[in-house]
Amino acid sequence: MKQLYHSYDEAVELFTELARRRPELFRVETIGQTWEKREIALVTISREMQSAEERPALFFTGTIHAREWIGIELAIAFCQYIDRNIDYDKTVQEALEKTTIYLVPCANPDGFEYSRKHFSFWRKNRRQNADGSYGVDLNRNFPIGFVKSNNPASNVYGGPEPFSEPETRALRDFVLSHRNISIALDYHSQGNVFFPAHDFRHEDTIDTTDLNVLCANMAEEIRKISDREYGIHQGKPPAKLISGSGREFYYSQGIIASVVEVGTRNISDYLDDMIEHIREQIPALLSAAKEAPNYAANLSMPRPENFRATFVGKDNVTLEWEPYDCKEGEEEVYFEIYRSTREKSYCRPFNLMGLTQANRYADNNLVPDSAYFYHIRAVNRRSGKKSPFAPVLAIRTHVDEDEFHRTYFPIPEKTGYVAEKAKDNASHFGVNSLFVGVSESKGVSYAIVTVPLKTIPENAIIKRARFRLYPLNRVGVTVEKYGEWNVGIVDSSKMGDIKKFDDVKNMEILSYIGRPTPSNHLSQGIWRSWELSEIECAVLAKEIEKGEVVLRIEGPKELFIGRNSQMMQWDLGYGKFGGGLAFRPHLEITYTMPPNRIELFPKKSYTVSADATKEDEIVCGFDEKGRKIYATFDFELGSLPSRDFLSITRAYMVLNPINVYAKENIRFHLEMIDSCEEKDYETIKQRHIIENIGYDVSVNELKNEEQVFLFDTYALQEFGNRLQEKKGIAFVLRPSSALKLVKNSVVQWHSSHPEFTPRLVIEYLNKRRKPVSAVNSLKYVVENSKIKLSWKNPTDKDFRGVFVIKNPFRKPISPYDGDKLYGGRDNWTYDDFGALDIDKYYAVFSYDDVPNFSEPVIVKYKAKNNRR
Amino acid sequence: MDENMAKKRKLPKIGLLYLDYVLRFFDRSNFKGWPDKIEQVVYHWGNDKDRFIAEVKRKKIDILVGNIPATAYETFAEIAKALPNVRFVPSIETQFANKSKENVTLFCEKHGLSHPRTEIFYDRDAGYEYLKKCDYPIIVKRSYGPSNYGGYYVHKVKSEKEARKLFDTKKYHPMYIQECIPLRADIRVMLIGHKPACAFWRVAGEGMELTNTSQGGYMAYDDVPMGALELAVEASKAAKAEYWACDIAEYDGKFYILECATAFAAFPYFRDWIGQYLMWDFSEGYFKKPHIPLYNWEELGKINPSLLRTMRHIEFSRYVPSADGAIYLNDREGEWDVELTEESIPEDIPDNSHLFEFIKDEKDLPEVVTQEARKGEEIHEQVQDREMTIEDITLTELMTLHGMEEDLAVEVMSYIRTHEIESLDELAKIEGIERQTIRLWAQELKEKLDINKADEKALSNIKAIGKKLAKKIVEYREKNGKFEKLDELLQIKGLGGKKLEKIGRYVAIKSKKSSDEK
Ligand SMILES: Nc1ncnc2c1ncn2[C@@H]1O[C@H](COP(=O)(O)OP(=O)(O)OP(=O)(O)O)[C@@H](O)[C@H]1O
Ligand SMILES: [Zn+2]
Repeated sequence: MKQLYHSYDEAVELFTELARRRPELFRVETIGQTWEKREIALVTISREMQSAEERPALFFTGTIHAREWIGIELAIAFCQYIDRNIDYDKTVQEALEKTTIYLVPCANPDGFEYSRKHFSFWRKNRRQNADGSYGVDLNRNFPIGFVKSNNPASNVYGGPEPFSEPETRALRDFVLSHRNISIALDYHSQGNVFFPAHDFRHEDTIDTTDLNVLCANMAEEIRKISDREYGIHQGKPPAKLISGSGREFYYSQGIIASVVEVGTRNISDYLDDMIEHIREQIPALLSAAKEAPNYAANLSMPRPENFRATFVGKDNVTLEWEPYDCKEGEEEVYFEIYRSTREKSYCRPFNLMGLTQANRYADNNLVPDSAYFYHIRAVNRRSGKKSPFAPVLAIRTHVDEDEFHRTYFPIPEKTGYVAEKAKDNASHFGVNSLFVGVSESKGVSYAIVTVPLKTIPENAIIKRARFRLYPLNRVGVTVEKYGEWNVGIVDSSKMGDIKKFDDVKNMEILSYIGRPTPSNHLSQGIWRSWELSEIECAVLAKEIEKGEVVLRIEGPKELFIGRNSQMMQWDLGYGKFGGGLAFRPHLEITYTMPPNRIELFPKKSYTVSADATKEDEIVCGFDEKGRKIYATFDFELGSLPSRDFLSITRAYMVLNPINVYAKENIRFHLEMIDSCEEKDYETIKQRHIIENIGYDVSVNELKNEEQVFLFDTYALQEFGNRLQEKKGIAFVLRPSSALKLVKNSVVQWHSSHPEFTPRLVIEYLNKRRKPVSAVNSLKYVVENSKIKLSWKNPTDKDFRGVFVIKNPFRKPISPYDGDKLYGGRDNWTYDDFGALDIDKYYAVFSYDDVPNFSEPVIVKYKAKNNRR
Repeated sequence: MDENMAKKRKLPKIGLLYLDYVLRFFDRSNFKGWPDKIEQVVYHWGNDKDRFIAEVKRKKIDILVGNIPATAYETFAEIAKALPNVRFVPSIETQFANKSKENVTLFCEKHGLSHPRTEIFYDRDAGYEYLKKCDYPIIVKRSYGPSNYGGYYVHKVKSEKEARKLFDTKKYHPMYIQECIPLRADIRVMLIGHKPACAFWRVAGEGMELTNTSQGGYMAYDDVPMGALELAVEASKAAKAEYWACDIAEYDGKFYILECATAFAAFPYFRDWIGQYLMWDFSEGYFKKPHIPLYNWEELGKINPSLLRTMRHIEFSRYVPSADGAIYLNDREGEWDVELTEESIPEDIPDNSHLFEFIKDEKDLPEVVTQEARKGEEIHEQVQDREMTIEDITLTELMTLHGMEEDLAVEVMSYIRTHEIESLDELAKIEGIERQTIRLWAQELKEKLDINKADEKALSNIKAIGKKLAKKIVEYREKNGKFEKLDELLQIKGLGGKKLEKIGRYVAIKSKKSSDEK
């Protein structure tokens, strides 16, 4: 298993040989010496070795943890790849066009060799500690957040003081003397996840988006090769954050830095896995290298400011940002706008929605009640240089006219996991993470998630639904590439005790929902969604009458030989191990209701010809001179419910022909107009058409059959507006012909027959169309070193609750644009983990049962001593 | 088997080194279980050198154990030279820092150990000149003297004026001027076999300067920072000390050695630990090494406070000296509590208060002692470093090598004893020793390869030589015979002066044509 791996000396030999053969492309130098006096090698790759130090650079570090062999192997393979491909491969050429790459293939040669020869599991370096034990965890020996420890024998012992180790000093000295480094990637195993740098605070950093996009773009390159999805997870309190790592040190020097955790084992099967890992990482590295110039400290263009949504509709959104203010001049700069439907998305050519030189962009054709994420960056037209990204903008489109939305969180005491070998399964409910899969210690393990369906009418029709879980950790609980994770709706009428393993195992599943999540798509820090099909939605709808739905999550049930776990840990979002509200499992439902229906009949109908206007008669066509004969009919809308609580889902006019005295080439159009008193020929001819209703019909189609003219969306909207204003509405039936002149050709329509008289059919839902009032008196105080927000709720009877949103960068205009701190009816909340030393906005949105969100009420928190 | 055991167990003859008027650090009871008779040799000061040497020889002593007070340091350096086959423990070189503050500074500088910036002037004019431009406060210390009691000769000086006054009246020579590290506490670390065995904070009393610890103040055993321990270990290894103590200052996350020595006040149980350790070293692993876990001392913080107060008193009382130099008594035999230390539990510390009245002030010291002290004043030596050679290396010395472990050291030692070692490379035969480790040890031991004997492989192990050059050297040697001078290497193509300089650190001419071919 270990034979195919290179020793440290072999690796250095390979690099030296490359540098000897192609000195214009590769250079090898020593940046320090280990305790055991091994030279720490650094490889430089540059297309112009003389100016390598002036070009923006990517800094690669590998194998700082002795047993994590991917680093050194990847560095070797990467250099060989560059050597082989550079002469003809455009991707390689572009990646290196403006970028220098520095690689420290193995930052811990002593530990690596010890791991190779003696003790595979070795992690630290080979310092001899005061107590005689060995090793400092080099990735805990950097100064940012350094933690003192009296336990040198510990596997994560950070050393007596920051930079106590020659290896970390070598890295420090190199980085401090190479200010051209703009991106740093530290390669580790395992977990298939990126861990971008953090600043120990709960709020995103201004470059969180840059970090996430860089990683997501790399992840997309990886997916291309292996269909493996990588997670992205920037650490935040309350999660335990690693301290004293290299990544945070590089980051503190203004470098975009991330850890890359590769694979599922430290020393993986070379032929089966290591080769694949290397293959998938090479294009990822190249894509990162290409970004290095955009983050170079001295060359960087400013990121677009105040990127925000100024309008969010059900299917469109308007984005704006500040006019670009930079020395390069406005006409030199354009903007790239990327859209995606999931968090932490890539920004690649295929989701680039638009380029513009304006400072406004309208995006249309969106799906109602859906989340969208927008990225923007500026590009210099001449140099091609790109700015960093503005912080990602998150919005959710409004529900459609006929739709309501619910997001349900689980009932904690009925949510937990049951494992075959666990002693007290009941104790896992409401407090622990959800462990699903199989492991030696737990046996097979299922999770049960019980979701309330209390505020949704029993006759609701579920249009869309998705169940979402947040993958917490796959580093500790390693997951190999096999098996899948499924969610099923349990037949709760027949089930036993949800806290007993056997009962859970024997549950009957009414329907599995969505597509299973295969192991290679499990990615830490990126939500997994199970999207329900229509049929599955119907199964879910049946559970509404029970007031709750029970979901069972199951994973693989067998272990591979030699492995002791194939287990996924999902956040429960409750209890002290949970990440809280922001990471809680949830079920999102978009539903509609069977519509109400109302039929209106004309107050009066007229036939208007050049010669006369006749009441109560509907004739339409051409007179003996070839002049048009119009028919028109008026409706009063007073009988409809108030527009504020009415959502028209469909409207149509029904007309019935009586007699056809007309030739084939005539067609009839129905038009909606504002009703007016005058019914004379001139007035009708001068009419203002609000909209055509439905399609025109030809004489051929009439054949004594009922004709239905369906309102399109615009017509519905306009109709709604008339309703709002309590105006009357009228329709005009107008003839047309392909010939210049048609004479004596008319169709007579029913005007007063009890059954066939014209009718306007309106289908509608009783649904609030306007939000309830906003909250007032929003303020914050700092209480027990926590920021506490309080406000007064509105008294509207349809008030259902508030969303409290935090955004450190801009005023959140959409209730989804930021960290959600609270949702519910209380009039106060804490920002439990919020940092006191940075400015931020808090926005409170009130909502009704649709929900419609009020305008935000915003308060700005002013930091006492701003540290950022 | 018996014979084998007996052979293995052939133990060196131990002698305890005592001096009149000097508090005895060790006593036979500290070597509990040592099967052979332990001799004692007492130095009486004055013209006692030759008699002393003769006595050591007569008693066939192999190892002489004991601290040498600063004032007798020069004498004992001479005695050691006259007794080349006697191992002094700690060695004269190890005790170098005991002699004076100046030596502490020299020692730290030589080994790159973190130490406050220090200026030493023999030329008073230069010294006074320096006082004009240096930043205040400074710390001024008397470098050397018959006794150095608890900071009694350490002064914190706040201005040039004050400094001039001090030097005018005290006439300290040399002028020892040190950067002042802002402190409320310093850390004492005591080590046995390069491992911290006890450590504590020495905290100044309220409103007191730490330089003047004669009253107030207390000790705290918790949260001694690892950085201080590591620095102390580094120093102990540099000194190749069997036992060792350091006073360390911490400021702004950095650590500085203020003082280090092999003589320090220690509880009886602690001296027992040292005794046990020495037995392990002397017997080359036959006796068990005491196991002393790191941070064991934190337990001390939990014992009876009245007892602790007594212990603090030992450390801080003006009359009872601490780390450096010896402890003088007016009791010529110097036997006070050591006889009471049979049982090595901390509780059996005797009440020492009665002793204070007997302990001499410097001016009351016997003439013989002060006279000898004057001799030492004149000599300012270079840092001495006992070259470790594989033939007569000790376990304590082996333990300074990177990556050495106790069991491995014993193993290496027995290999050395049973083989004629030509090159360190042979150690690769011992389980668990790597080529890279040997390279490293070779550098640390500064063991030079014999350029006339080393084979190609051994030579190529030296980084500065490498494979190709090693081949050329061996070819040259085969063709032209053995090297007479290292310069001859320059004849080899591709080997220039710079290279030779580098290589010279690793190779030497140990066997020459003539002598060898006979
Ligand atoms: N450079 C310095 N900066 C600040 N404080 C110092 C410095 N040097 C010494 N001190 C303080 O003065 C005390 C006495 O110094 P030092 O150890 O050199 O003298 P000493 O006479 O041997 O005292 P002791 O026996 O207590 O160690 C130290 O313990 C320390 O607290
Ligand atoms: Zn790692």
